[in-house]
Amino acid sequence: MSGRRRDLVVTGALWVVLVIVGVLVVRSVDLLPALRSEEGAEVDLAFNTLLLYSIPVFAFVLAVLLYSVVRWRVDEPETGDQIRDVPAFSWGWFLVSTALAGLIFVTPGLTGFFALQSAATEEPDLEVRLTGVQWHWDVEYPEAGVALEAPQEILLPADRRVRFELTSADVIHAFWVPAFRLKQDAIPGETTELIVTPTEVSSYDADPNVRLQCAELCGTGHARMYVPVRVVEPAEFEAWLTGAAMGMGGDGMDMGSDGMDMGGNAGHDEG
Amino acid sequence: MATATPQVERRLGASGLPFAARGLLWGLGGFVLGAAVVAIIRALAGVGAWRADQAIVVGFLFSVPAFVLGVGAWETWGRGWFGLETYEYDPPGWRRYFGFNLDHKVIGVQYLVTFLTVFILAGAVAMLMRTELMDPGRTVLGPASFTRFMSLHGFLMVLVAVTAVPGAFGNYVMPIMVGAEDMAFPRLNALSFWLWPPAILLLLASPLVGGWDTGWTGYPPLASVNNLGQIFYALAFVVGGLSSIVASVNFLTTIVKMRARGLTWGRLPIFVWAILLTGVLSLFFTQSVAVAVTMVTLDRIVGAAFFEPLLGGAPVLYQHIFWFYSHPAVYVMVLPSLGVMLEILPVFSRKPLFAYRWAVGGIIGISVLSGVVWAHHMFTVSALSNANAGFMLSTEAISVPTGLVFLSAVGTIWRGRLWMKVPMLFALAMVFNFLIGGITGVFLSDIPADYQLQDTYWVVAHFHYTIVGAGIFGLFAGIYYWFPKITGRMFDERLARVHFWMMFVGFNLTFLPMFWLGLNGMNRRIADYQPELAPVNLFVSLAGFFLGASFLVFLWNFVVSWKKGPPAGPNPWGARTLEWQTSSPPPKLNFEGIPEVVGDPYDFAPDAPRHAEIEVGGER
Repeated sequence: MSGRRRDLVVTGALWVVLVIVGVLVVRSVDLLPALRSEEGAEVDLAFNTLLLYSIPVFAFVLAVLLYSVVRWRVDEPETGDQIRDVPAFSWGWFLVSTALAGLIFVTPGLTGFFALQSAATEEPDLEVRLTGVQWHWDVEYPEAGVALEAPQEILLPADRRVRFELTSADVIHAFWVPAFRLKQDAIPGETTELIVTPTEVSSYDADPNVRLQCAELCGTGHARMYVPVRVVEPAEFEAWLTGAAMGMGGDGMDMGSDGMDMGGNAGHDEG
Repeated sequence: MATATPQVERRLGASGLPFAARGLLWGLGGFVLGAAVVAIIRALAGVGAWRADQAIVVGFLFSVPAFVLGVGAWETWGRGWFGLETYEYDPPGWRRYFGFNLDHKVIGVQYLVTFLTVFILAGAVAMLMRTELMDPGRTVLGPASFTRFMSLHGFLMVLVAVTAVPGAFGNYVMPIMVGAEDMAFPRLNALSFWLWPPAILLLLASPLVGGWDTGWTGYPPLASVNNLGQIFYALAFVVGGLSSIVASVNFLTTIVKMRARGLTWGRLPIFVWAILLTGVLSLFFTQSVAVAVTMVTLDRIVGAAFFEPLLGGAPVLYQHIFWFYSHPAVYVMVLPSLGVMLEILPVFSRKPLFAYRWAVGGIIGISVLSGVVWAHHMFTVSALSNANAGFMLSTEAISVPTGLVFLSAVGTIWRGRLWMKVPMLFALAMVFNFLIGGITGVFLSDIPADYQLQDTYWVVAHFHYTIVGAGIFGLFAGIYYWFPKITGRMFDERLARVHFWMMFVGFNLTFLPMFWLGLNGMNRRIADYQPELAPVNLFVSLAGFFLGASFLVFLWNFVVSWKKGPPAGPNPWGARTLEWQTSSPPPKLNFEGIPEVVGDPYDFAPDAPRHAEIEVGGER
């Protein structure tokens, strides 16, 4: 085997080994935290697909780098092989990278995007209005006539399609529940929307990613502008909502504005 | 250009206060004058003489030209407008750096030292931030200070990333590489540098008025209602942007009109191509960000309401105008460094730059596409809008020309003879870092994945991998590569290797875990986080301190070697491009004769013709 051929074979073998190692690693380590919404499955699918595609690309460049550094390292300057271009390789690189870019645009890009778009056109089971305020969230369940100012917790029913209407009372905020995966800005003077179907009973205490976190820098209290979310069985949710609606008329069933300004709904004042 | 008599040259800045100090005095006078104009107009209008924000804006706009005149533009430039004789500021020794000097080599050093200083300061701010983030809850800064320091860190570092490499090496090295005696417009060149000190001093003073808390992006409505520091940010952006535009006119003209005989486009060193396209980007797009921040300033100081929703303004419009510049700007940050990388790889592989034409095509392709991708920063503004799909397409298309830069890099080292000197270590590290930065950017370009990743630490990790991993590593690659040329001395190789390994390991240990943090619910720009993320954040902070410490090693080496390093000789690396065909440092007009390019810049074959011949009085 000529030296030239051996270089190609060994680098190719190194590439294959790195790809296998890479695939094994991403299969055994779950990079993404627990998913708790139907729509978020598209996000995870896109992420995992891209992760898989990126392994051979990363491994290829890494293999060439590693092999070259080990194989052709010199201590004193020495003339290298005067190769200016290998047209077949350069064209191949260009065509493969163009094809890859086209592929990821179509899937997971467009396919995931269209799936999310069509999911958003289906009729929701529940409407929730959220207003971002420096630095807390106000929550309204308009169908039940319940409006809560800076509640300590947001309740949602499991397996029900929830349509959030988002706006802001001051600066730009953003809706993000990490366990649901979706993100949408809340913009003053506009109403934006987001549809999410929580898949299972869960709570902030069990999983800190079940929280409504402001994701757009909104000033000093931005970090603490989150409120725990609790996803409960639909029956429990209905009972709670009915109770809250009665509470709205009379005494203290509302979930309590505590007048926090810095600590957000979460209530840990860090002063 | 005016010629000065020797006596006048000695008089200009050779003794007494350096002109920079006089500039500060004049600038202060300009500020007082501008503020007084506002006060008089307001008093005449009967609305009360004093209003801080208006006084600061107009005062600063008066102080900038006053400062520039004071540092020597008056003698070298201003007097000519009144038919008076002009003088060139060119004192001997260190003083040459402290005034309106027209020599591109002096200006390159001014840029380098200024932005290294800013880099160190902004890095120190990052150390403070990582101290706060070492554990959850309040640590040292608290949320208000953290957000302001975060904004200051971000903006100062953006200025470093946009300016340091083209400012230092575009000015110092590029004209020599093309065989020119100087830049096309030396006075504009000096102007472009001297616009920076007022902008930087303003930013460093911003904590005195409470700073600002919108990050470097300055989104309204938050930017319309927060501290006065927001105005400092806007003014610095406008003045710095003006400097970028002035500098890019100069780069473009120099590259197009002043190349040596025989330096065809096909023989142009790749770094010069990178500076050329960087100049195009700055020239086309910078005014856009100046418009955006000016509109916010007008909202604040005269109630213009461009972005005030209650008065019919549109806050989201700002983001479009802002990113219309600021996405191309990220290529302004990395293209020059990629040029440095592709300049270094052939020299230390002793091989031609692989697929030169593809690499040039890649740089041009990146530049063209960079103008049509801006809204990928705004997918979550209206998450399911059809327009997002178009921006996903253009963004993913940009991976193709970016891939061509990688093609050229890996093709160059393949079958080379890799001489692992310090510039080469940095260039190879850039390939690795930028690979991670590029691939993780593809995730962000994908609309579904971006729903989770947008505004999280994934983004923080991604842009540090591109802008630090490529941009700032490229700055240091360039510093080590051209240090012997600029100073005439060699740096301490051992310390430089220590710096490299500390920086490379520290950088990766700091930013790699941030991808995981972003996926696991840590959003960006926060002073506090969920307690579950504490162990990884502690690790990131410690790695960050290690990364920070690497620059102390660098600084020591940089200062000591500049003063006492052994003489480097004209061409310690055995490179072929023109800057290595003259003495270190080069003479005032760069060459002893007139250079003529006769060969390829990267042809390392033993029998290859030289890249250039220097014609001295008719002899070669």
